[in-house]
Amino acid sequence: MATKYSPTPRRLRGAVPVVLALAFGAAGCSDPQVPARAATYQFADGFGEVFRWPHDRSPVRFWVEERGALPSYVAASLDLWERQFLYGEWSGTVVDDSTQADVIVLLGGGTPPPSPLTSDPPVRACFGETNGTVVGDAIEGAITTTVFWSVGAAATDIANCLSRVTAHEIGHTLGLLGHSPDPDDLMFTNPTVRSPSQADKNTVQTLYDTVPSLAPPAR
Amino acid sequence: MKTVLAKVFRIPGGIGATVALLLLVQPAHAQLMVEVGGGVTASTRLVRDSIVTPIDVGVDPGFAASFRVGTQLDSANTLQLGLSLSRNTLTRDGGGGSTEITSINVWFPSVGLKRPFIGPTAIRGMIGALIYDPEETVGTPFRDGSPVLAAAGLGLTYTPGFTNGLSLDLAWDLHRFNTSALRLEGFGGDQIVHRITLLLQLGIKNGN
Repeated sequence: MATKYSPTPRRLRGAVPVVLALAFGAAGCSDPQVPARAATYQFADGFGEVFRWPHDRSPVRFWVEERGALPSYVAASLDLWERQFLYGEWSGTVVDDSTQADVIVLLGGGTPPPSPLTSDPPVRACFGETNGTVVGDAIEGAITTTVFWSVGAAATDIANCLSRVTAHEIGHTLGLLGHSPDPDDLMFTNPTVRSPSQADKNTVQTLYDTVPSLAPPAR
Repeated sequence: MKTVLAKVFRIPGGIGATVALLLLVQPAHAQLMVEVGGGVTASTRLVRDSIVTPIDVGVDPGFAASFRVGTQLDSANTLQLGLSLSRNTLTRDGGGGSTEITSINVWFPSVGLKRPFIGPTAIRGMIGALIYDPEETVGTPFRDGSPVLAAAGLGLTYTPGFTNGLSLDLAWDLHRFNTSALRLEGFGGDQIVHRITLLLQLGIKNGN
C-alpha cells in the first residue's frame, strides 16, 4: 500500500521540545502573591482631608533656600521619598525659580554652624513646620516648609537634626498630614530616624492609591 | 548603555561563545543568512498589584527591531543567533487612569533553530535572555536593578516568492518576570509575561 507523504508532522517534530519547555515554564508558577499593605497611621489631617500630588504633577517642584546644608538635606530627602514608591507615583525636583515652585523650603534663623552628618544619638536641636492655605477643596499657592535650629546646640546635633527634620517635613509636603505614633517611623512627631520605615512606606503607598479630597495648588 | 551591553554580553554561554559555535558548526559550503527587521511588539502585564485599588503595570506596544544571523546545519535546519530590541513605555494602569512611568528598552539576545514549515513559511524556536533597561529606575520596580530573565519563544516567517527576500515574521515569546524590588516589597512568585512581535524583515544570503 502506498503511503502519501505528509511533511507537516515531521517538520513539527523540531518544535516539540521548545513547546514542551515553554509549557513546563508556564505551568511552573501561578500569578505572583501580592503583598498586603495598609496605612499604619493616619495620613489625613485633623479635619479628615486627604491630600496627595496627582501622578501627572510629578516631578513636584521644590525651591530651596541656598543656606547652609539645607539644599543637600532637601535633595537627599526627595531621593529618600521617591524610593518608597514602586510605580512612579511621586517624584520631586529642585527648581531655581521660586515663582514656579509647588513647595518652598526655608531655613529659619541664621545659617547653622557647618558640620558633617554623624551617627550620634538623636538630639532635639531643631524643629520644622509645613503649611498650606486651603481654599474650598484646593490648596492655594505654594506649600511652605520651614526648618528651625536651636542656638546653643552642638553643631553636629544641629546638622543631624536638620537632616532628619527636613526629611520628615518633606513627608508632610507629600501629603502625610498626620503623625505616626511609633518612634521608629520618620513621621513620628519628633523624628529620631533618618529614613522612612516600612510603616512610612506602606502609609505613603496607600495614600498615593487613595482618592484625595484636596486638589493641589494650580500651576 | 554600557551597562546594558555588559548585561547582553554576560548572558549564559555568552554571545561570543555562540558566535564561535556558529562558525564551528558552519560547514565550509554552507550559507550565512542575515535577517533584519522592524515592526511592533506588544506584551502582557508585568505586575499586578493592589494597594487600595488594583494596579496593572506593563509596557505599552512599541517599536521593535530585530537582527538575526544564521547558518544552515543541514538541508532543513538553520541555526540562528538573534538580537531584538523594542522601545516601549512602562505604564501604570489603575485608580481610574493610566500614567506613564518611564521609557524602557527591552533587549532579547537569543539562539534558535529555524526550519521550513508549510509552503512559504518557516518556523523557529528560540531561547535567550530578556533584559529590561528603563530610563529611570528610582521609584520603579527596577529600583534595585534589572534582572536578566530567561526567555523562550516561537516564530513563524512567511516569505512569498515574489518579494525578493522580504518576509513577514510573527513571533511569540514568554518569560517569568520578577525583580529584586518586587521581592523586597513582598511579592511571591513570578508573573508570566507573553510578548507578540510582528516584523517586516529582509533576508540576505551570503555564501555558496
